[in-house]
Formats: sequence, structure tokens, C-alpha cells
Amino acid sequence: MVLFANEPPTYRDAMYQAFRGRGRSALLLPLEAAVDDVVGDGAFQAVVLSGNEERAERISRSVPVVNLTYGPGEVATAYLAGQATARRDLTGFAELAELIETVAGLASIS
Amino acid sequence: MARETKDIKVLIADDHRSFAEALRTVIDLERGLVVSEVVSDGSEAVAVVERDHPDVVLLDIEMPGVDGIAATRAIKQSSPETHVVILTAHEDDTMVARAVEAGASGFLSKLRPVADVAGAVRAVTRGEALLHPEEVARALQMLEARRRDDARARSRVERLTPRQIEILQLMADGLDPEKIADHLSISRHTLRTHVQNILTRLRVHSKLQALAEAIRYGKVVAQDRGD
Repeated sequence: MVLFANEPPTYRDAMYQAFRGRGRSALLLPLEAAVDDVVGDGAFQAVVLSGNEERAERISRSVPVVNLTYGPGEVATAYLAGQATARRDLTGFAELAELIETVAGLASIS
Repeated sequence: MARETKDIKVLIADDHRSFAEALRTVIDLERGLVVSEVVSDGSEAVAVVERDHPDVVLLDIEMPGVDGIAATRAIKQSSPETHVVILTAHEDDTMVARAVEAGASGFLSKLRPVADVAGAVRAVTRGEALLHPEEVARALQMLEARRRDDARARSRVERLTPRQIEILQLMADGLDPEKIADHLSISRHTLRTHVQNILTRLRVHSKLQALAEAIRYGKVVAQDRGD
């Protein structure tokens, strides 16, 4: 189960639905700031966040994180055990979905 | 007999490619909507519209190269029947006014649930307004007022004398008052009078503001000093 807590909401909803379209289990968290309250019980294999590196590092001590940042273009950074472990300049949704699946242990690392 | 209805053809233009493709998945699941293409910049969007004439373009306002406003204008010129819905994370009145002027049918905030996107696409193809008429009027009035202020400021700058422009240019070059006075062979007192006249003419309160106005309207060139 992957938790989509990223902002803005249109992105979060679209990515959540597209990820489920790949046959994966996912949940939406409408308030990214509340993510600390829900990740501690081990229910999630990965969490998708946006922007805040400090939060991504902290949350990744409990559960793998994919942190999205936007400027011109998009970057996804994977965090495991409090550290950034991989960074991707995204060129499409499939690339993001594969990164999420990899950090969640749903796919083998290519 | 069931009436045959044509699918609404949608083009998505957003430089955040992972979002745009995810949005394509969502829209393609909607009955009666089909995404014809996903592109990443404004010029691509304009080219695809010229070729395919989609019913609706979902257009990000901030894109590299041709931005959403310029793309909207070009799209409406080449395909007037295509509806443009602007997607933006930073909606403000000026942006709304510029987009409406360019021919956009509406705005959709990226802070809205994605379910609203399909609703907006259907609404604009039915000819419904996504923006309240009062909201549009207010935004257009604000843009008009801003343009009037801009024209007045430009006119004030145009009335600067050659001597006043010369003084502003020397200030922009980084010369202190003593050097400017020496350079122009005038006294410090005369220079002060010139500067006061510049501030009065431009209706600003500081030399910095005067310089900014003169640079903005091309009367003074800010030198790149390379440091």
C-alpha cells in the first residue's frame, strides 16, 4: 500500500488514480502536514511527499519516501532510512511509478 | 433511437510530465472524454492544436518557452472553436484578466480535486463559464488600471530632458555625486537641483526609484559591471 500525501491536490489525485490504474494499492492523504500521524503503524510500503526535504528524511526513518519537487521540470528523490538514495529528473509518469514501486519493494531495481 | 455523441477531444499541455500523464489516465477513464495528446510546452501545444483542433486544451500557465497566456492567444487564433482551460497553482486577478483577454474559457486551480477537471472540460464544451462574470469584470478592470498607471509612468519618463537622462545614466554607471558633478562641469548644488527635478517629474521619492523607472522604460542602460 502506497500513501499519496503530495501537493498540490490535483497532482496528488491524478497520480494516485494513475498508480491504482497500474493495479497497485494506494491511499490518499489530503493533508501532507498530517503525514507524521499516519505512517507509524507500518501500514504503508511507501509514502509520496512533495518538497520538504527535512520531512522526507524524517518520515523515511519509518517508511520509504518518494519526494517530489517542482520547478521548471520535476525531480523525484527516494529516501530510505533518513537518507536520499536516488534522484530522478522525471520525464513521465511511468518513471515516477517505477521509482515508487522500487522503494516500496513492489518491483526489482532495474 | 439513441443519439450518437462525439467524444470530447482533450489536449494536455504541462511541463510537469508525470502529472500530465497521470491526468491523461484520469481523463481517459471518464466517459465521453479522450486525451488526444500530452505535450510539455506552449509551442508544442500551439502546433498540435493547429493540426488536430481538439475541443479543449488543458494548459499550464507556467511553461518553458511559450507560456500559457501566449499559447492561449495563438491557439484561439488558429482554432477559435477550441476551448482553453488554464491550469495554475498561483491564481491572481492579473493572471485571470490576461488569460481571459487572450481567449481562455476558464481557470482551474491545481489546488482543486482532480475530479473537477473532467467537470470543467464538459462545462466549457457546453459553453458554460468557469469564471463568474463579476470575477472577470473585476480582473479586467484591475488590468486596465495597471495599464493606465504604466502608460502614465512611461509618459513621465518620456518627458525627461537629455540632461536629466544623462545624470540618471551616470548614476546607473555607479558614479557618486561628486564625480557626476565633475563630469558634467556643474556644481553639487546644481546637480542636487537636477536630481530634485527628476524626482518631481517622475513622481518618485528616491533616486533608486527614479533609476528603476528610467531603466524600465529604456532611457537608461544598467551596465553589467561583471563583479
